[in-house]
Amino acid sequence: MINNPNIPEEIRKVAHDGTALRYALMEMATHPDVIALGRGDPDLDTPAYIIEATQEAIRQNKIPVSPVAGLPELREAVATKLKRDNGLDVTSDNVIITTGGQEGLFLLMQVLLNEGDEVLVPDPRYTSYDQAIESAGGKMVMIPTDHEDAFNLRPEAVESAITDKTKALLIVTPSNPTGGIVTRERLEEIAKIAIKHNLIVISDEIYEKFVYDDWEHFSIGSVPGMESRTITLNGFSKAYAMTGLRVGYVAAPKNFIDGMTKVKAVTTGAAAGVSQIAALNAITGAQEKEAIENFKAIYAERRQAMMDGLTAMGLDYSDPRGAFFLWTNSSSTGIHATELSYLLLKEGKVLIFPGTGFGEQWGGYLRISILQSTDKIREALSRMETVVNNYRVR
Amino acid sequence: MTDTLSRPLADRVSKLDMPTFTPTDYEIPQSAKDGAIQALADGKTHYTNRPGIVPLREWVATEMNTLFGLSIDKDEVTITCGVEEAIFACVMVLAETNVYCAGDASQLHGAVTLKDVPLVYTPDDITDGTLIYLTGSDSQETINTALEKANPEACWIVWDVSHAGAETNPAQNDTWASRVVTVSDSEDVLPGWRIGWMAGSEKAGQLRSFKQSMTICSPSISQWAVDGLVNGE
Repeated sequence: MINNPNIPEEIRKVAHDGTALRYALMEMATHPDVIALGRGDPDLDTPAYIIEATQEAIRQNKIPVSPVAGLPELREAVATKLKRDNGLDVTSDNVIITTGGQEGLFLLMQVLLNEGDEVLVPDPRYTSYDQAIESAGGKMVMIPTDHEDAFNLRPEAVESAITDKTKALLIVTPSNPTGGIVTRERLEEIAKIAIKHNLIVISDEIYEKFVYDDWEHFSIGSVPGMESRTITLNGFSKAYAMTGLRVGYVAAPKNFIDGMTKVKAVTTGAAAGVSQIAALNAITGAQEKEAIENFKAIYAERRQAMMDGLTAMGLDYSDPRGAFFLWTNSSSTGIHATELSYLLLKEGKVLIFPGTGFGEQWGGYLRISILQSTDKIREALSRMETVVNNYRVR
Repeated sequence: MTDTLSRPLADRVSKLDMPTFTPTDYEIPQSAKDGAIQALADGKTHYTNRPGIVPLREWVATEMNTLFGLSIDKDEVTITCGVEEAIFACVMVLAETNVYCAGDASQLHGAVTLKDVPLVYTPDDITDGTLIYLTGSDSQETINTALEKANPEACWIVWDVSHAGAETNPAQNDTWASRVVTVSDSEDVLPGWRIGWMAGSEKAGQLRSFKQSMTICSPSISQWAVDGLVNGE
C-alpha cells in the first residue's frame, strides 16, 4: 500500500491499476532533463531504407486503400517471414494486419472468449492484457514465475492452473516486463499440455528479434500439433523502431482470421495504408537483416552497461535474455517500488516504471528499459545511485 | 495450417458480417504529401501523444468553435483511427441501455453487437442510458424529437459529421453541451489514412482512455499528413 503522503494523489489513486500508474508517471515526466527509461518505445531512428522507400511511395501517389485484413502483398510477406523465421505453416489467409500489436490482442480476445472463459497469464504481466481479456468477458488466472528461474514459464505451473473453464494460455516471449524468455524445452512441454487439455495458446512474440548471448527465440506454433491451436501475435513496432506507424499482425487458422476481420471492420477498420506500405518496405527491404543486427548490437551494449551499473549499485536483476528491459529487484533499498519510482523521477529525473505497473504485488521490483544511449544510461545510473543512497532504509 | 481453430470462436463473431472491399483511386493532396514526407524525414515514426499530435487537436477544436460557437479545448479532442474507432469507443463507454439511430445505422451494427445492447429506431424507445446517434443528414425535426424524448442527465449524444457536414451542433444547446461527442474523419480527402477524431463531452477523458487501451495512439505519419492538409501552406 502507498500511504506516504509525500506521494502525490495522482499516483496514489491509480497505484492499483498498472496501466494507469505507468501513464500517470509518464505524464509527470515533463522536465526536459528527464531520462526516460520507462516506455518500451525504441529511441533509435527507423532505418533509412524504410523511410526513403515510404517517402518515395507517397511522392508517387502509391498509397493504396487497404482491405480490412490488410494489403495482400503485406499479408503475403508476413506469411513468408513466419515460415522462414518461425517455422510456422501459414499462408496469407492465415494473417491479418492490425493497427499495432495492442489492437491485435484486443481483437483476438473478442474473437476467442465468451463470458467466463479463463485465460492463463504469466505473472508479472504487461497489464494492457487485462483490459483486452476483461472487455471480452474473460477472466485472467495468474501463473507464477520467479526470479530464480529467470521468469521462465514452468509447465507444471501451467498445468496446475487449468480448470474446465480454461480456454487459453498467453505466452509472452521474450517477456515484457521481465526480459526473460520461455525456452524451447519448456515450450515443447507446454505444447503437450495444451494438446492434452485442448487449450489455445496465444504467443506474443513482439520482441523476438532481440534475444541476447546464446539464447534463442522459439515459436510454439512450430511444434507439430500446435498449428490449429496457436495464435501468434507480432508486429513492426519494436523490430524496426516504428511504434508510431501502428502496424501489427496476427497469424492463426483461417476461420479465426476471418472472425478478427469482422471485428476489426467495426472497431478501427483497416490499418493505415501508408503505415502498411512502410511495413512492407521494412520486411522486404534488402537491408532488413543488417538493420536489425545493428539495433541488436546497440541494445546489447546498453544492456551490458545497465547490468554493470546495477551490479555496482548492489541491485540484483533477473537474467535479461531478451527484449528491452531489466527486471530489477529493488527490495534491498527498503523502499516500495511505486514510491521509489516517484522519488527517482522527482529527485533524480529518471523515469522508471515500478514493478507494480505490471502486477500489484511486485512492489519489490523495477522495470528499467535500455532505450536510451549508453551515455544517458550511465548518467541515469549515477542519478539513481544518489537517490537510492539518500532514501535507502537502513 | 488447418483452416479451423481447435475450439469454437466466441458467440458474438457469428452475428457480425464479413466486410466487403471496393478499391478506391484517389490523389493525395500535395499539402498532405508534404506533411507526411517531412514527418518521415524528421523521424516522427514513434508513438505520438496518446490523444494525438497537438496541432491537429488544436485544429479540430478551432474548427468546432468557429463553426458552432462552442468552447472546446484541444484537451477534449482525441485523434482516432478513423471515425469507426470514435463511434466504437462511444458505444462501448457511453451506451448503457440501448443505442438510438434515426437514419443510416450501418456504422453502428457491429459496435452494438459487441457491446450487446439493442439498436432502436423510434424516439419512444429512448430511455435513461440511451446513446443517441445523430448525423448531419438527420433533419432538424428528427433531432428535435429525439432531444425532447431524452433525459439530458441520463443520455449521451454522438454527433457524426463524417459523411454530411452540419451547420449546427446539439452541443450548442446548453442543456446538452457536456453530453455531446462530435465525431468525424478525413477519409473523404485521404481515404485509407485512417484519421478521425472525437471531441467534447465531460467523458472525453474516459473515451480517450478506451481508445488508448485499443490502439495506444493513431498512426503518426497519417496524423502529420492530415496536419499538412489542414494547417499546411
